[in-house]
Amino acid sequence: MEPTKKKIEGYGLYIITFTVLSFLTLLAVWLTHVRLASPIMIGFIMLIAACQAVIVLFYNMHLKFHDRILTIFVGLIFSLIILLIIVTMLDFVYR
Amino acid sequence: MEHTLAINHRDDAASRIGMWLFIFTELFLFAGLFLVFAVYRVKYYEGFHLASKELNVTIGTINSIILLLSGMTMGIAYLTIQKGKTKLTLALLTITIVLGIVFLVNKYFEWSIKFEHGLYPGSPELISLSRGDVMFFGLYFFMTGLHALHLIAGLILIAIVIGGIMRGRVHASKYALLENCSLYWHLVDLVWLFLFPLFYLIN
Repeated sequence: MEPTKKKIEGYGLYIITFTVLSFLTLLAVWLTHVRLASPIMIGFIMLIAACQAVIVLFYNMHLKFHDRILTIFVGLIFSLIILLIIVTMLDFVYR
Repeated sequence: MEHTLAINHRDDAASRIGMWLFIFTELFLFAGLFLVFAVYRVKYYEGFHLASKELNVTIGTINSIILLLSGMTMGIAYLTIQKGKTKLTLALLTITIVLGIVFLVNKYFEWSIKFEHGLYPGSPELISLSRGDVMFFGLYFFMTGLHALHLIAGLILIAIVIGGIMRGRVHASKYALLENCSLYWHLVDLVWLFLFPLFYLIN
């Protein structure tokens, strides 16, 4: 097996990420009960989802422990997806 | 004199890169669907707003926690195989399968309730509702259904890994199959992390 950049040693990492991800999920659910303007609430909830995605990518999918080139590739793919969504939405809204 | 050279070439790094390339294609597939959801949500704001209130947030939240928990057991299994703890790895992978099945059972009950209320694509009740409702439930069934199919594929993959461990083909110094399976399972996790807020929470 190819050596990873850093070795993952303990199980604690996965227990911590599970706890943080669960907390963020419950936080997003709680936010729906708070009286906030719709765009702000959507913004917060999607921000939480994005944070969860970063945690899953870096820790559960081990991007943090592998070569940086892989992280750059994943970053490029997500940038492309975000760009695609923004451009399409702008075109749709202002057409 | 002829010599036969047995070549047992293995490139785990290439295998990992290959898996990531596959994951990229999957990300684009779901990104396209999220884009469709976003466009129709803007177009049929009122319909989406009302239709999303029909979904059960509690079941959605429980399913999210179940999937995150399965991600944890899968992650720990990836570590235990490297430490040579085969029995513990098998136990953790079995727990992951059980959690995946529990997720699907919850989804089955959730879908059953919608079917009982006639809220499924093509039903007379749904067609009589607004276009926004029709679009919302069409996307809901398609996207969560596609996610469930991916989850079933993940379960089959885990079963193959379990078979590999039991036959001694996956072990402490050869665990690329388990690593790639783990990457796929976390992709299923990742997609759900966006499906859950989009369908259940943003209303």
